[in-house]
Amino acid sequence: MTTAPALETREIITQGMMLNMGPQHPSTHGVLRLILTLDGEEVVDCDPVIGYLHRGIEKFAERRPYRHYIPFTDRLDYLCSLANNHSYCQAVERLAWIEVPERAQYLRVALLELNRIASHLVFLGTFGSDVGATTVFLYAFREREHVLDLLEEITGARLTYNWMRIGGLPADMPENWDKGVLEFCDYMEPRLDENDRLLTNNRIFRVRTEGVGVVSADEAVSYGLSGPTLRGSGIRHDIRKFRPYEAYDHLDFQVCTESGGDVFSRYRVRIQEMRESVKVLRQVFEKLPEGPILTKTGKLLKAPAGEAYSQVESPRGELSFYMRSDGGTDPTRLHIRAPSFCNLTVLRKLAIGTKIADVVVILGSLDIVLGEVDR
Amino acid sequence: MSEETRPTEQGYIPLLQERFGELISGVEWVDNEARLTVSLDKLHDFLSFARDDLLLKFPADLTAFDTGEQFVLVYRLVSIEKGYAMLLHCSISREDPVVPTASDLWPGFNWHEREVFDMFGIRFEGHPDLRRILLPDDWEGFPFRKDYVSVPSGDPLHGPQPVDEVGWKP
Repeated sequence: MTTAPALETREIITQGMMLNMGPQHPSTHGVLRLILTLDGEEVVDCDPVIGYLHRGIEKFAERRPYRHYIPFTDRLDYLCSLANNHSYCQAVERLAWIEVPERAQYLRVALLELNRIASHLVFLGTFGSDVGATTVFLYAFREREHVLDLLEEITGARLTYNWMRIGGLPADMPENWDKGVLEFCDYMEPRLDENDRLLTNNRIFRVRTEGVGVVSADEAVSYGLSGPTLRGSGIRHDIRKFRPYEAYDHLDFQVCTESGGDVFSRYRVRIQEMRESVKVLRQVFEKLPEGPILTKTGKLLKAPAGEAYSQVESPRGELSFYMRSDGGTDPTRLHIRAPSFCNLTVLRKLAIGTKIADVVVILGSLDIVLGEVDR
Repeated sequence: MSEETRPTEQGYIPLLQERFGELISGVEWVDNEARLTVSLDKLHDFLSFARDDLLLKFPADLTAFDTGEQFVLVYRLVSIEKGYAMLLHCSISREDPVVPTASDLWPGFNWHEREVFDMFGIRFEGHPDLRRILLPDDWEGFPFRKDYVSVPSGDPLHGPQPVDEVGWKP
C-alpha cells in the first residue's frame, strides 16, 4: 500500500499564466492589447499588440491635395486635435515657404495651450480612476467642460476641431472670447490647488504611484521618450524651447521637470504644465497684435520639390510630421512621428517584474492615445 | 539659407567629413541641423559614431520612403545637451532591401524598424523581434511601396480593399 508523500517533499508544479488585457478593456485607454505572462500576480513578460485602430492615415495623404488632409489629422490624437492640425500645417508651411501672420501665431498658441489643458485634464481624470480615485474623474471633466465650451465658441466643434489652415487660421476669434479665456484662467488655478489637496497629497495615491515604473534619465533618452514622460525623468527638453515655433519665443514659461522618473513624477509634470499653460494664455492676450490671420495661398497649393520636418510639443510629447513633395499638388510621402507610439515602446521594460495592478498605473502614466499609436 | 550667406556655420560637419570622407554626400547645415546621405556599407558605424562621439543620443524618428527606383531610410537624431540634430538619409536597393539594425544602439528604434518592415518590407538584420506591428500578421504585401496594388479579398473584415480604384483626385 502506498501512502501519499509528505507535504514537504511533494513537488508543486506551477506554470505561468497568459492573460490578455484588452483590446476591450477600460484601463488600456482604447484598443491596446497586452499579452501578459504572469507568475501569480507578478508580470513575467508583457507584449503590447497594437494596430487595432490602424487606418493607414499616412497613406491617405499621398492621394490628397495638401489642404484636404487637415481633417484627417484630427483623428490621430483626438484629445489634442489642434496640435495635430498645427503640426501638419506647419510642415506644409515649411515645405512651401508660407509665412504665418503674427496675430495668427499668437491665436494658435492660445488654442494649443487650451487644448493642452483639456488633454491633461483627461489624463488627470482617467489616471485618477486607474488608481481608484474616481472622484477626480468627475472634477477633471467638469473643468474640461469649460475648455471645450471655449473651443466650441471659436471652432464650432468639441473634439475634432479642424481649425488650423495652411498659412494661419480660418477666422478670427469671436468678440469677447479673450475675456472668456481670462475668466477661465482665473477659474482654473484654484481648481488645480484643489486637486493637489484631493489627489496629489493623498496618501493612498502616493503609495500607488511613488517609486513605480521608474525610468532613468539615460533610459528615457535611449528609448526616445518625449513630453511629460521624458521630463518626469529629469531631462529638460521641450520643443517649445528647443526649436521655438509660432510665438513661443516671445512668451515666458517654464519647462517643468521632476527628477523621480516614476509614475508620480510624470503625473506632477502634467499638473505643473497646466499651470504654465494658464500663464502662457494670460500673456497671449496681453501681447496679441492686430492684423490679418491668414496668408492667402491660392486655390490649389503646390509645394516645391523637397522635404520638410515639422515638430511641435503636443501634450503627449514630440509630434512631428515628415513630408516630401515632388512639386505636385499632393505630398509623395507623409510620415507622422506619434509621441504615444514612441512612449509605448518602454512599457514592456517597465511592466516586467511588477504586479499586474501596477501595469494599469504605469500605462496610465504614459498617457497614450491609440488613435495616434496606430495611425 | 544657402552656404554663401552663412559660411561659418558648419556645426559638426567637419568632424564627419574627416572621419567618413567620401561615404557621406549632400551635406547641408540648416537651422542647427545637418542633412546628409550616408552609404549603406558604413551605416551602422556611422550611427554608432553619431551616438557616441557627436552625442546624438535621442532617437527621434526613423522612417522610409519609396522613390520608385529605390528605398530611402530617414533617421532623425537629436542631441538634447548640444542642441543640434541630424536628418540622415540612406538609400537601399528595392530588390534586396536589407539594412543593419539600429535597435542595438537605441532600444527606442525597435518599434520604428518593425513599422518600416511592416509598411515597406525592408528587413533589419540583427533586429531581435522583426514582425509586423500595425497590420495583421497574415497581410500580404507592403502597402507603402509605390507599386503596391491592393487586391480585394471579398471579406470586408479582413484583407485589402481596392482603395486605389476609387482614389479621389480634384
